[in-house]
Amino acid sequence: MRWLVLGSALLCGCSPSMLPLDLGEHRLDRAALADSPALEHLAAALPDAEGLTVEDLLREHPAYARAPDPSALLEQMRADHIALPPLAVAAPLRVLSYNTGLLDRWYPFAVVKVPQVDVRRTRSPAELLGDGWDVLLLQEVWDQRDVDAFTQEAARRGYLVHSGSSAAAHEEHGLLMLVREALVDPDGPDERAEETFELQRDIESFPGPGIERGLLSWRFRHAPTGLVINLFDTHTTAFPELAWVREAQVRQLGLRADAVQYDEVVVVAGDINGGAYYPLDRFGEVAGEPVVGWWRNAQAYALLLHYGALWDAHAAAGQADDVAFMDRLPPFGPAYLREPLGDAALCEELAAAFTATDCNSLYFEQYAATEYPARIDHVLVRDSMERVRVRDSAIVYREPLAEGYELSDHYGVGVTLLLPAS
Amino acid sequence: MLMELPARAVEPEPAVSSPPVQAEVIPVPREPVDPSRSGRGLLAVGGVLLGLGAAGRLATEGFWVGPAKLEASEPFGQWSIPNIALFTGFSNLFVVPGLVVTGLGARRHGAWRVASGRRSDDLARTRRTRALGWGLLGGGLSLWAVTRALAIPVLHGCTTNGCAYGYLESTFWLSLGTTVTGVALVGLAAGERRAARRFSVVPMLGPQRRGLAVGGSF
Repeated sequence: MRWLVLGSALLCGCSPSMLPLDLGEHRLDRAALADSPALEHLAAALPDAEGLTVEDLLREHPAYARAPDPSALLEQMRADHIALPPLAVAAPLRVLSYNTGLLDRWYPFAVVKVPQVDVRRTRSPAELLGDGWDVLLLQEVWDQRDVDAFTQEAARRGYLVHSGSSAAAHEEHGLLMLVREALVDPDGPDERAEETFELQRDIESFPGPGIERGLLSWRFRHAPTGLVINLFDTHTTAFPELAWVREAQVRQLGLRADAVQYDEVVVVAGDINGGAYYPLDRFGEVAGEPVVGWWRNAQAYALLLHYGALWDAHAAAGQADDVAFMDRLPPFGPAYLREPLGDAALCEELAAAFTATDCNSLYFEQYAATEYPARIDHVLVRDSMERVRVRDSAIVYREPLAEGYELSDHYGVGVTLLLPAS
Repeated sequence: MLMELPARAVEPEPAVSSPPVQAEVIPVPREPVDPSRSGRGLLAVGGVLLGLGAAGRLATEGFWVGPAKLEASEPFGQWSIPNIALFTGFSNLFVVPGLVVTGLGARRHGAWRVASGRRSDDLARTRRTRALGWGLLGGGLSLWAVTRALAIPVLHGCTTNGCAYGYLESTFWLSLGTTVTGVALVGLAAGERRAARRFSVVPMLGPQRRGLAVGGSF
């Protein structure tokens, strides 16, 4: 489809669309920002948002007057969850979302590699599959050799694997799902799918390192409870200036989640390269130029919640202190280049709030002072029948390995969900 | 060799006053040799271009082995196929014009060698050179075309870097070496033929006939 769009655009002499082709066709596109619980805070930060719809937001990208503050949204998700009655009998489901950072690729005249990848790729399968997770939704397991390593370890430890439709397709999105085999009802359903996002940052694919963003999905019956669970794993396009790509991608993902049957549970997880909150629109420097556009970078998280009717497990667990932590960051300055957050001592207390941060030595080595520290990896849930509870949620894999660096340049999000057992 | 063109028939004339018939063989004069047109300049330019192409390819291979740290036994990434096509295409920017210029230079050099007398005019040898040259050139180009046409299915079937890059590089160097040799030989043979084929036109005048004698190698 993308080639068709591009070809048509070239034939008619116009530029390819920077918007989803079907924008405006879905009822959720036409929702007013102020009427959507997930987007209300965006409307409040816009100078003239009266009657502004989601479609308007994506087409016109109005400038924010101040930082969109999701405090009320995060608090509401926590309050809604607390208000749910406790489950009489519950089966835990431990879910991990983790960007493994196993990037090791070349393209003409350049190599893109996350530091220490050679060691980390040998450690990751055993480390992650040995920690008792029931569901692992991983990103940046780019190469087939790493899929093979995970698959071998998974077979040894009793996990099923979904890496995509083929090795070639997998290498484009780098997503990997693992589910404990004992939890998957052999009588089905067991449906595994893959989808490439309509909008891409094309240079990432060619002549870049062959990356095309997308999603993996897996629909199965949870054997202990009989619930049908739909897992989605994703990794959307990075960087504030590419917000338009990312927003189209989360819309596509959210609509897939929204299309799931009402009585089934949805878990969407991954690295969406967008946090819930950024205090300042300008933060960080790349080649001496300030990085701007962070306020809009907060839209992807909110849009994903909106389109997928999702809630944030970290917020439901009362752990989403993004606003308080982000507001405590020291003002940006040259000190950020010298040490994490401009003051490495702050990592002790602030690193627990972020999944992508200079407090991670591998992240600092690659992105020092160019990115806002943020919680950009998420585990989100849609449970229309209010059967799912969150027992706990935490930022995990923060401790360095014995080698002195972390398992990945991201931290993970580990959530324990409770499902009603009859 | 000399060949007489048919002369226009004329009416018989009285034998008493006839001058002697001018019908002796006239040697074909060689083209004057211009040392500056020996083809060495073109050959040098062609060599530089081919050298740059080869150096570029070696640099590409060095990048794969060095910064990219590709190892033969590791799995081949299918994602890299478009980049391989792009990356290896750079060297062809030099190789293709290098082949053309080398061929032109060889042709000029072949003609110059014969015309200047540095090499004898030997039609049989020239034919052998030409046959060998066309064989190598055709074989080299065919090898290149076929292996490139099959590259996508072959690379899709490769599971290791050794298979994929080994296939691409071995066929590249083999086809390049064969093609360059073939181009040079074909050029030389063409030049020698060109020099030997130079002809002269000499008027013939006699009591019984008048016409032109055309000399050269045909």
